[in-house]
Amino acid sequence: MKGRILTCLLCAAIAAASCLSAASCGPQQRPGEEAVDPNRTQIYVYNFYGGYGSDWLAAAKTRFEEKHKDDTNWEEGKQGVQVIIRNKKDAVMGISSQILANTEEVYFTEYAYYYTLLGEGVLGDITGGVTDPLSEYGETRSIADKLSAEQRSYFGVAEEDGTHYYGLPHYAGYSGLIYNIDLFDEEGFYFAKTPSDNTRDGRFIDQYNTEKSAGPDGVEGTFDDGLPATYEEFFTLCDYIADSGTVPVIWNGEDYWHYLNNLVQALQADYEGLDQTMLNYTLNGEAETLATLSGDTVTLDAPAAIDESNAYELARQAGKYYGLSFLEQLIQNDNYHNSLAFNTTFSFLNAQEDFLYGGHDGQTKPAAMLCDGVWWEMEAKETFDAMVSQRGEAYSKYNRNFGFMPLPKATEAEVEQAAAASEAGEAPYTLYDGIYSMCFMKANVAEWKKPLILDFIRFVHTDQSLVEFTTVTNTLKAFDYTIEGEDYDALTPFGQSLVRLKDASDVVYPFSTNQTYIQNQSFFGTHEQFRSNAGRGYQFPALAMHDDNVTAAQYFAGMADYYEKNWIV
Amino acid sequence: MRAAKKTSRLGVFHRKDILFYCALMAYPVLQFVIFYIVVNANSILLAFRSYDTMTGAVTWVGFANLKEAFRMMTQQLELLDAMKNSFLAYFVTLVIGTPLALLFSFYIYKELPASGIFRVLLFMPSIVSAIVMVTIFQFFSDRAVPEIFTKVFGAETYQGLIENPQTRFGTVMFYNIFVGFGTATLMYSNAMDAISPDQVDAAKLEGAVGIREFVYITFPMIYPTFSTFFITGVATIFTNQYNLYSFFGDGSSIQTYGYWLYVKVAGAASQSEYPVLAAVGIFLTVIAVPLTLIVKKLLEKFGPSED
Repeated sequence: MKGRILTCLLCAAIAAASCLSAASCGPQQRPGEEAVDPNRTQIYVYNFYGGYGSDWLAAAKTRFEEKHKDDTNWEEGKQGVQVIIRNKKDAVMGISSQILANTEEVYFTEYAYYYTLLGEGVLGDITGGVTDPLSEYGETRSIADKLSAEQRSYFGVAEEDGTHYYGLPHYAGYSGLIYNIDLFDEEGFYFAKTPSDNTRDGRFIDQYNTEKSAGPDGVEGTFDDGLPATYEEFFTLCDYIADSGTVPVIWNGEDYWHYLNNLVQALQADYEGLDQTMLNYTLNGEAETLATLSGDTVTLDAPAAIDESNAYELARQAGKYYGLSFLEQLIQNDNYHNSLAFNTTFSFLNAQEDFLYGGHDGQTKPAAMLCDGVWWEMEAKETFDAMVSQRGEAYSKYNRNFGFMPLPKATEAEVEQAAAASEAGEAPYTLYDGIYSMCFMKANVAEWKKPLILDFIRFVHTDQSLVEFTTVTNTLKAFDYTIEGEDYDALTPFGQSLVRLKDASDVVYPFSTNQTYIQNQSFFGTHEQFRSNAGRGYQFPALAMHDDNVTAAQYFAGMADYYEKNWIV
Repeated sequence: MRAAKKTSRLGVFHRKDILFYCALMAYPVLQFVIFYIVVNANSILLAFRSYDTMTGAVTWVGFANLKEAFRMMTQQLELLDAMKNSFLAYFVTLVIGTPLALLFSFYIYKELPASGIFRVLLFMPSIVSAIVMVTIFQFFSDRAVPEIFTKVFGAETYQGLIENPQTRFGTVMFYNIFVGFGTATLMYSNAMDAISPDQVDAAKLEGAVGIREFVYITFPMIYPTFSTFFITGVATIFTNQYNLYSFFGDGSSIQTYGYWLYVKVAGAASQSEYPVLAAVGIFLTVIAVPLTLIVKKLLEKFGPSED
């Protein structure tokens, strides 16, 4: 009898434990989360808690709640609105099957494949919020008006009754080189307009020769003056920097293949320009930069029509070769990078720390440039704070000069083209935004709540909110908006440099509505564009070059081979 | 009459127990059916379908995915590399790890000096989180070892064992062998503990001590456990990641099929990319199943017997 009772109790305990897995459903307060106010109506917001943090969202939340503090029309017996922010690190594609069941109603995330989520039915229709002018906020433009033509084409889904929007871009995720302007100024790491003499060192400014060269855009008197205009100048600069006892470029070893891939992608996009880079995703148009290599000589082929059947030929775009050649030089010369550049224990935070502390702590070598993304200042917040508390306000990000470096051009001819573009009022630079950030409302939001959530989405996409995002994060939203005057002055020097460069750039958003692209999105992903059949086959050129000394030419030839053999059509 | 009463009493007793047993087992069986049988059956069917990202429509495509999977497996360099590495990694862990695990188990079984400490040390990696173990090992390999080398051998800067492409594979294999000892040692030493002491004493009288005892008494007695490990190891040749994802994320220069499949599935932008991966899985099963059965047959035929 006792045995049976014990057995039953044990079974009951097991059953109860099994049911605990279901207990976490529903809107419950999580540790560290703001308590739900039963007297207000809640909006639950999912924020991907990556490099951009959540301070920007907290700032928007405060203003939104203030705006709606007297609302009594949402739920009976409740006044006001409360925005509950849930900061998480789950990749949205990994949780897509849970979105409809989740409490969170609005998502701010990255690496989100729009058409996949649309096909899965998790995205809510936000058309009304996107296409109506933001007149209640004193604006004449709608959110859609702030998108580029490529973004409108991608996010706007053509349906029987017109174009519908089910998502919007979120933050801009450019990668490249961040340079230490203070160090550049101190050491004179700028090219002179007129060299003092025929030596290497004579090409740089000094106390007597202070006028800087025109820089990569080929135009004097712009923000890039003195910076290396070409790859040749860049590596001459690296030699000059290395000889001064400074590390030219620092990057993290833990994930170097991704970070360097991002850099190559950025170099490729800047060489190719918006239209030619977009061919890789639209799979339709005329390729003007397909190249044949003969030794180190790049010969451009005649323009070729590209469609889905032969788009693998785009693996031969000259910009891809030039990006690889840049990477080869950077990797193969150990003087050009930090000693832990390929060490798996050297994280991106370590790299940022060394970049910030270098030359200031008596033990870390100064580094002139950091290979990272534009979110780096937010990620390095703890290091900045630590330096301020140890050494004073002079070390805050507002008082230290860092800049997002306009990338050098592959050849002198490219510099001339950039100068011509500038003079014609066109962008001399092209940036690559491969982070697939997205904002959306989930599909099964309660009907009564939709107007409130749409208002929230409209609210965070007003010019005021977009500017606030930039002043808080010192990065950009992937929209067209202006930052000037006091708002611009409130940015860190890095944030200001980013604004200046963005204003001088076209931006590649690597997506399209081409059906082949949509059905095979990860084939066209940011880290899938540089696969090669060189050697034993590689996904990342940095791995091939570091591990097996594969040259840029070999890798480039292997890319053409890989994409021809593995083309998806 | 007597027989009927007996049956009736037995029937009542049996029925209640069966009900209780079913109630207890229903949930785990349901889990097994859903998460193993249904999932694997779905995977097999997936290999013959295509999935439209936009509409969610599923269509049967016959052998198209299998054709593509075959092409990839026989022509893509990274998959040829993965095939080679899958077998090589298994072979290394078998040839080096298994004898050492048996040796350590025998050492612990015989309660030789410090066997208790060995047991804890060897089992520790199985208790500690894999990510923590990998991180500790990475720091040891890529920071401590170069530092030791520099101090012992001179001022030259040495690369870390994982950083250095020449030593990377061996280092990862060493890690996998080391963390694999825990479970193997536990199983083997438990099997050894089940050997009757009378048999051991009798063997001692006949001069079977030390290694002779291991070869003629211990190993034959634990052979069923050994062969189970061997067979399950063969079955997992194509699913074992060897902790590569923990070490390198999606950027490992060493690829095994287990790692490649995991990265591809985790990184898929939509379900439309799954069917070809499912087809690859079918081919790997076609290789692994007969191989496993052959190994099982060989072990049964040529292994030592208790006699």
